[in-house]
Amino acid sequence: MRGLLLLLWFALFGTEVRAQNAQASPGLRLTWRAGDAAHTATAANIALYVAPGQSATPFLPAGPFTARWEGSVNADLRGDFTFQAQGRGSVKLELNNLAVLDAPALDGKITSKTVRLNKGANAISLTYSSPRQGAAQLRLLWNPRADKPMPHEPIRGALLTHSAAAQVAPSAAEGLDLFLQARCAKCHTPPASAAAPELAMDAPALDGIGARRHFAWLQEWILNPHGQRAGAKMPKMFHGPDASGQAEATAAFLATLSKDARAPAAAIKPYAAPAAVATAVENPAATPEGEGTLLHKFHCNACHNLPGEKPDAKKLSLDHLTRKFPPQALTDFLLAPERHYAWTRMPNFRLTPDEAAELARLLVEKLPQFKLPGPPVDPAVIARGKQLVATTGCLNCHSLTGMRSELAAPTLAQLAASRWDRACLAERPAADAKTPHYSFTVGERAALAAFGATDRKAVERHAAADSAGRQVRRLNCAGCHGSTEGIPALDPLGEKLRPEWTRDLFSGTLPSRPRPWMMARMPAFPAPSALLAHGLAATHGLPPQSPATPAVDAKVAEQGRKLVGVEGGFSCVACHGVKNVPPLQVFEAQGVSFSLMGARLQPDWYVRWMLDPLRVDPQTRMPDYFDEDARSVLLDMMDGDALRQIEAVLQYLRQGEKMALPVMR
Amino acid sequence: MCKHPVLSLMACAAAAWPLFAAEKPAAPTPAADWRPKLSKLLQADFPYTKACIGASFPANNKANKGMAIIAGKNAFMCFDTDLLRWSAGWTPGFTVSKGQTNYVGYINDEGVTYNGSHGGHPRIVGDQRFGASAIPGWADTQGSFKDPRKEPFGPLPRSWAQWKGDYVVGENVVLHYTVQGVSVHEQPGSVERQGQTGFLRNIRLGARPQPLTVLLCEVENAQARLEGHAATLTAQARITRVGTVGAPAASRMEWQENKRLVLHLPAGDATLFKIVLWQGESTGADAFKVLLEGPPAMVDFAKGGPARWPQPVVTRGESNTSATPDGAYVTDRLTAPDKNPWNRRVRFGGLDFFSDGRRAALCTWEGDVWIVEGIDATLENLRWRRFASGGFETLGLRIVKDVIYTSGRDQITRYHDLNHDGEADHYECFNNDITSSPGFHEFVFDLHTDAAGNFYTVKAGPVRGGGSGFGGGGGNGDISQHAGCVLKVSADGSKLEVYATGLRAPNGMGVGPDGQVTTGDNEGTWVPRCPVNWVSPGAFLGVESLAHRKNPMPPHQKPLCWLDKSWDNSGGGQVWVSSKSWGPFEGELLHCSYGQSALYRVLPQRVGEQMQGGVVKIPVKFTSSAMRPRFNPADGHLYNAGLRGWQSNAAREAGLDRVRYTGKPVVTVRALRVDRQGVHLGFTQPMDPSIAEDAQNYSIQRWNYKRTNSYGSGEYSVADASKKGRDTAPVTAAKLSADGRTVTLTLGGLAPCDQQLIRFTLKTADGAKLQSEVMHTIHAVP
Repeated sequence: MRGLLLLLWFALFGTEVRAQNAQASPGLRLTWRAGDAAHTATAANIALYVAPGQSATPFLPAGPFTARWEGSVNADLRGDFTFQAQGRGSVKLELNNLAVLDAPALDGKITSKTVRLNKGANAISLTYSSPRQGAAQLRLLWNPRADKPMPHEPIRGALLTHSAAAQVAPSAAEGLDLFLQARCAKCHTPPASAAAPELAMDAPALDGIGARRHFAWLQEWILNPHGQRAGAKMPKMFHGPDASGQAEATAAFLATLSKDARAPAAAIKPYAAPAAVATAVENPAATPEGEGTLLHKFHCNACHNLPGEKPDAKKLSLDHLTRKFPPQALTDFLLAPERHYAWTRMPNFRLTPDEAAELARLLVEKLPQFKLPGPPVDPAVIARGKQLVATTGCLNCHSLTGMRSELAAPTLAQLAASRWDRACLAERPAADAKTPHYSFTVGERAALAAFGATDRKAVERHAAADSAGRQVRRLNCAGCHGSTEGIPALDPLGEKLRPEWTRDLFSGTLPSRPRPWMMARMPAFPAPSALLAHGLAATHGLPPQSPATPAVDAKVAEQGRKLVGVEGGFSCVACHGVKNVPPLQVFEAQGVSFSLMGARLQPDWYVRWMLDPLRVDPQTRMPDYFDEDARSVLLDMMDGDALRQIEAVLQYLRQGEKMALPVMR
Repeated sequence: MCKHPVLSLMACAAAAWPLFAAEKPAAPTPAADWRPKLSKLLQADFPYTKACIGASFPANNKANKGMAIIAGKNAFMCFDTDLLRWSAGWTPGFTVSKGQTNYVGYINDEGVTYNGSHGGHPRIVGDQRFGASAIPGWADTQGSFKDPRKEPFGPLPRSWAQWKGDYVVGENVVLHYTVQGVSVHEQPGSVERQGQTGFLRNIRLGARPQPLTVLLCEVENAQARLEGHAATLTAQARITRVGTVGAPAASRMEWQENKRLVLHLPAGDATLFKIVLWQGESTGADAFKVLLEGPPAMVDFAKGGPARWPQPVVTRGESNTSATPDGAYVTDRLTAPDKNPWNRRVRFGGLDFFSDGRRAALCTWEGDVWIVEGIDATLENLRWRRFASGGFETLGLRIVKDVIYTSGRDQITRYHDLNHDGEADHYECFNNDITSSPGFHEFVFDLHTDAAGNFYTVKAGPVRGGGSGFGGGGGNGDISQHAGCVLKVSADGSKLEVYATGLRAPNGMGVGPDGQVTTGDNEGTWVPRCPVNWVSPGAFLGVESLAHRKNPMPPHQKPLCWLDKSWDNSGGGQVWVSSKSWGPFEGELLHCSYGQSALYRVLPQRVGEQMQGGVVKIPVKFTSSAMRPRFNPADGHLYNAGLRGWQSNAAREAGLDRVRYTGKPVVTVRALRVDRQGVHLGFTQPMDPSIAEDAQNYSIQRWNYKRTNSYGSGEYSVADASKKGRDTAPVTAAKLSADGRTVTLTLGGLAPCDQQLIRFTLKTADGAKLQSEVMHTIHAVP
């Protein structure tokens, strides 16, 4: 996870880091130890959450561990800072070789005395030991204005660096990632107790595939997946002179599978169509939101080369759609991409049928309409295909009701480390090879070999943050987050959003969108939903379940209701709606409805946001009502105490749909 | 979209009234009163409300500069001061809610000024009886009613007709205008007899060397019957009857183009006559002759009317509500009269002082003018009087020779208190050449004069609901001739000219002692960040949609500086320090941020013809936004009036504060200059060299913006334009001058950039801490 998030940080803050210290690499060097075992990585921040029974990293066993972060914290200006460690365990923080925090048995939080930091790089090291029992948890925060009563905040990733010489080569970790993504464990089975969540990753079910894909495309794809998509994880199975015939026979058999009798999983419900700007506009057509077609509005181009646009080799082509999908099948696929392939990278946009039909129309309108050959109907060919499907290993990854794979491969443990350069991992497959060929690059093969050289127990361990990080990369979250205007950077979301809420967001069970007026929407990734939600939180040292909170204080919440209203309050309702009541006068940027916030936001993040929104997001249009002395512009409520007012609003927000309306005119 | 459940019924379905006929009770009885159901955001005790007013017919009938006039107990009329036409006359209507009949009338409170909605404007509420489309209310010398304007906004040519203003006398209003040089005074009213309501136009017409033709009303596809001085127009079940009383004998009506009823008036001497209009079902038509009874009449408006708001609102100010860290500046609050007997909403849009300096006048967004007296050291007894009302979003005010002028969406108004009772009686139109479309966002901000007495104001562009783009029709309005322009009006009001173009929504401007014009603006389409504009005559300030010139697009006059969002996300006005007693800054420029409610000193640097520089904050706090800064000529202190009406962190809807210099040493940045040696920061005090010369105590970030038709801009690396984010500029040396008052920072890669932020933590030679920031722009490194 950390290495992956580092990529995001670098994309965001790269110029800053580069200018500050040409020799520095982003993030801190992180060394994990458990017993005699050690593992090094690069960490974007100083935070961890490891649930009991889970591993801090896939390369160490569960149980007691230590973690040591080393590198530099780069201050913008010489000044006085305080640091705060939150969590459980033992913490020792040194800055410029002076002990700043020393908490042998932290259970809660501890704040340092004021520390003078130099402008630029200051040596930082933090040693953490997990507690004897329970979850291991740590967050290191700072307050860059020690003379001000502001809450401690995370150290922005760009401000943490380590010297390039100390950079770690993460090849074994990369190898683990590839091993899981390529579904190697589907043939080379790990022990039954193996716990890496990605072992559950499936491949498209074959039931009904004949109705969902054209025969011609199946044949091409089976024959050479990498010819169609360089990064395909589907291996090439047939290598000899009869490869074409084998592919044709396999596709011919698949083409007969036109029925899917399996019980459909619970469908993800469509979101309501985007709402118009929630104010009285006589001519709403004159306020377009976003340019271009639905394809642009949904940012399909984050992952795909859109028809008619200059292709980008890193993105998936859509040129083959008319060869691949029968017309209705494309619409059906867009409506529920996970229906036959739970772990598909294509997310569910919770489209209405009209939206899906429109997208499908846009996707194919510029493509040639082929007259595609039908499948061979010769029973012998079909029978041969069936036999190939049973014996080649297709069914090790793909499910098909009523059939089982007849292919047996060595277990993971049986694979000798010295042989991780042949068979599936050979540079080129022999003509008579029976093994799949993945077209791995030299680097990828080296990474897999590096993983093979470990004890391979990494696949047996559940390390939430690492798993989530792999999924973030696999799903190309950064294709939109941090790179597309109007879509937030991914990194801060784990400490902003409550994991219960993000899980529902990812799983597609959230009843409505927080920003229904936007055309762009966060799609659902149902299969890894819990994994992502927990991992994103863990990356920021937060648990997968939000701690219980005391009941809402009705009196304080009532004051909060006044504070958000027009009469004597901040008039937050100008931009924020409440329940089904739209905001009064949205301009420039509508805010999320108040009734959705309590379930959505982490309380610590909320407080920092309210105190100084522009400090959290320099592009936000949320006004700043409180000064750096934590004084409010509204002096006649709660003595103008910012933190009390912010807490009162939080109490109000926590009521969700039960909240009473504030004064809205 | 109609949001108000009761009014929306009227507003949206007025055209479909007959559909409700089955539920309709008898016509409003004399006892029925529409006033109790009138929105509290509107007033029934002043003769008119100026706004863009929508009516039900003819189609698309909007009076861009409408005066919705209460013409008696049960009648309303809307006058269009651009076209000098009566766009509509209507009577109260009713709604039935939960079995109860509610009488409703006048106008609804739709629109940004009232219920806050974006994209709407008030519409008539009730039963429309007559109307006329957007054509001139009087014909030209050839008898034509064809709209002569290049675009359907702004007034008629002066040679055709000219709006002069109005007089208010009790519940009456007298309109004054000229037609082909002939003076016209007109008093609208109504008469109720036999359960029928007639609309009255009492007209005092000056001597006419030539005949004139006046528009009476339009009824599409009516059967017209003209008989002497009366006409009967029948359209389906509705009958319109129009008559004149006292009109010159040779006058005659004419039915034109099967829709328009006009009255031809022969050349002749001055005369007073009246026009009576009635519309209803055939059963009431016979009452028309009764409605005609009585002579034409006009109130004596020349001496003003009785005071309508005689009681003052007394408030007590508060001293020392905030202070700068050095204690050199403190704020005092002049408590606003937001609790007043008339329940008037108070949101200050303009401020200026009378010559005695103990009194100031403030206009409000609601169209009121208040005068406050008792401005003294203690502020203990502030007496507020309402002086005027009814204005069209008055957001600028200037006092010249103790006479109040306001800028509104319709005109610059000059106010006269004819009987010296402390209230305006004559609302003189000083200049109404400005264009105004129905756009909700066409604010006309601020009002200043230069040394020669010319007036300056600035009109926002018709930003669309939601904030992006401009115009497009409907409630978003259209890009009319003056959209996004600084406007200059000659000292006598006779001439308006465009001084600069290309602004989006500058809530305030300034005019320096030498006539230098400045504005702020509001981040948005074509405005990457809020600027401080140093405006040359003829300048194009960057919003291409509002350049009013194309092929080629004129060069963009770059601002003196841009300001990051956290400094200014919505600009307010500027003021030049005209006081010798306000600390060491006489002659310098101050800039306000409306959005951040913050006050800045501008640090200018001239490089050839281009101004550049930045700002440093004067960290005081205001009761509401920072928007209309003015120096009081008597006490030499700065005063600021502000409102909260759209996005701002302002705490209150209205605030008036004084920023007072206490005489303590000022510890801040004095000046900023960039040259090849580096960045020179001047200070008001000698600095401690051991700290000032340590480069570690300075931090510099810089970045660029992209000026596009997108909303605002991201931040882009100066070093690599393809990268987002800020660059950190290394400060390699800091050198203090011999007098200890200027530090020169040497920094790597010093180069032009849109935005540079310098942060520092220093001490003066006396040990006072100075932790501050300067936000600036480098166009050139001389």
